Order: sequence, then structure tokens, then C-alpha cells
Amino acid sequence: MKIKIVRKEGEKIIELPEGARASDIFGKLGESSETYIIKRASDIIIGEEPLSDGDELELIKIISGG
Amino acid sequence: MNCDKCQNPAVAHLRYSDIRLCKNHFIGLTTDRIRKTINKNKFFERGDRVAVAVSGGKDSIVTLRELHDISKKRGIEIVGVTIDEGIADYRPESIDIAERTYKELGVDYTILTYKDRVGKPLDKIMEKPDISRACEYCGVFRRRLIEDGAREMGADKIATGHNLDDEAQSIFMNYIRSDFPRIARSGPKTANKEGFIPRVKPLCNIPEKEVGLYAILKGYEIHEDECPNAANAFRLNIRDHMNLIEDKYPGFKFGIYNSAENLRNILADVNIEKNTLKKCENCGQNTSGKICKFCELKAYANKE
Repeated sequence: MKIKIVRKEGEKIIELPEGARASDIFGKLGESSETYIIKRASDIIIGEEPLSDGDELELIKIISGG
Repeated sequence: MNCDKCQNPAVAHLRYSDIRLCKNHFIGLTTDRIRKTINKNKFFERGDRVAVAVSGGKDSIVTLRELHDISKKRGIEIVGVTIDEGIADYRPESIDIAERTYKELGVDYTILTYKDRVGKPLDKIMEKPDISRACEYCGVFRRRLIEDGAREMGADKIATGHNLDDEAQSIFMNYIRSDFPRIARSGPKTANKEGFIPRVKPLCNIPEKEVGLYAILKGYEIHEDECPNAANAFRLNIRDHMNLIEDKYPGFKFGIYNSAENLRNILADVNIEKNTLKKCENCGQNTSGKICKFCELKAYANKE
């Protein structure tokens, strides 16, 4: 299935197998799940949430330091 | 997925303890944990004036707002200290957020600049061809200016926004350097030592991601850009690796944090400080040598 990823730096479509969960996007992106909060349709969701084809996920980066 | 405590949608999965929480239960648990840290470590006494070091980022804004929330009941007074390092396109926006938050809460504050206190803004210091690691200078300067600002505000304690990730990274870096005295000195609350204002870290056992989520769910205005000088920092490499390990082994960061707690208990009866503190010949602050690190780096930064 196709999942649209929206981040501050741009958008990207990734392919995941049927039955994938939200946390599976991080393996595809080569990032840690510790770094982002995931939103779907403006709701915050957890990594265990099942995904559906065509889902659009917004990733909010957690900034260190400052 | 729903909350383990009610049927509302989960917004957080605390994988290290395998708990899913909705917005209200996550906020409630996080607030409780911060307050338990404050109580367990006896951070404050009635009448304390507490200077919160506020950059405008998530950690310091959460710390400021949480301490302000409990200040009346605890009989403590909150003031703010903000440091302007002089990093164009980065710091001005975060200082605006810090100032808006101070004003909203009615908190007195001071802003100290590197330009005034060090002699140059950080951007100018970084123009020197032989200075490449901004954090080495910035960390020392910022730490001193927070101490100076707190003292000028008449503070008894300094509260900083260090979270679990910051603590785990520092502990790990100190292990690598075999700097056990530093591990012994650190922790949620620094010992009362002559010449230093004690420091407390109310968020020390809250993972960074949870601090960020808490700030978002509470609707706090926070600065969301990363320091442009941070990319090459050793700490950031440690952070990235720790995050990948935490993905595979939830609880890894707590393991590092707890190892230092245990080590501190073992070292409590051992005097591992090699050097007794002296006074810096230049500024009079505590130091292990003749000249303190702040004065040494300040002189170098201003050398033409």
C-alpha cells in the first residue's frame, strides 16, 4: 500500500506491505521513531496503529536542545 | 488503538513500560512524574527563589510552566534567565517565545547576551578560523551566564529543562571519558557547594519525545528549530545512536540513567574528586586550576 509522508522539509510517498503499522514507516525512512510524533487527519496516533492504503501521515519532529 | 485506562484513542505508547495513554491520561501521568521527581529529590524549600533557564524550546517552556503551576502551593517564587548567544536566524525567535511566556505568567526575567558578557556574539566567535566546535565554547559560556543571571536575580536554585535523553547522553559521554567525578556530581539535583547555586532538573526522567508531546498536547508555544551549530556535535551522534537502540530495546535510556543513579549511590561514600576547588585568578569563580574554563575560552574567543 502507498502511504504519503508529510514533513516540514517536504512530502514523500512510501510503499509498505498490507498490515503495516504506523511505526513501520521509520524503517523505510531510515529514522528513529524516538524523533517524531505521528499525526493522521490531525489526530496524534501511536506506532501500533494499523495503516490503510492512501493514508497521509504528518511527522512532527522533536527538536533536541535549545 | 485505545488508552489502557479508558476507551479514548491513545496518543502515547510508553514502550518501556508498555502502556498506551489517551491525551488526558498522558498529561496526568507526566505531570505526576514531574511532581514526584520534585518531591522525591526535595528540590525546593518554602521561600526559595527559583531561576528557570528558559531558551524558548519545549524543555525549558515545560519546566517554566510546571514550576509556575506549583509555585504558589509550594511557597516558591519563579524568575527567568534567558541567554542570547548571538546566533542569527535562530535565537531571536526563541527569545520572543520565552519573553511572551514570561509576560503571560507574570514572571520576572533577565536576558544576558554573549555580546555583553563574553565580548562577542557566538556568530562572531565562530568566524575565528581555528574554532570549529561551537558547542565547546557555547556550553561553557551559557552555563556561566545562567549562573550569573540567576545570582543577579537573587535566586537560591536554578532549574533547567534537561530531559531523560539529555541525561542519558551526558552519562554515556562521561562513561566514555571515564569522568566518574562528573557522573557523581550530576543527577536530578546538584549538591549544595560553596560558590555554586544548586541546580535541579524536574524533567530528568521524562523522555524527550514525551516532553515534546506534552508541550504539544498542552498547547504551549515552543520554538521548534534546531540550533544551526548542533549538526557536528558529538552529542548529536550519541543521540541518534541511542534513539536507534531505544527503538529496538525500549528502556535502554532508562537503563543508562539508572546505571548512573546506582553508581552515585556506590560513590556517595568515596571521595573521588581529585582536585579541591580554588578561585579563578581572573573572575573569582570556583575552578580546579588557576584560571577557570570560562575565562580561558573567553580570552581565546576575543584574541585577535
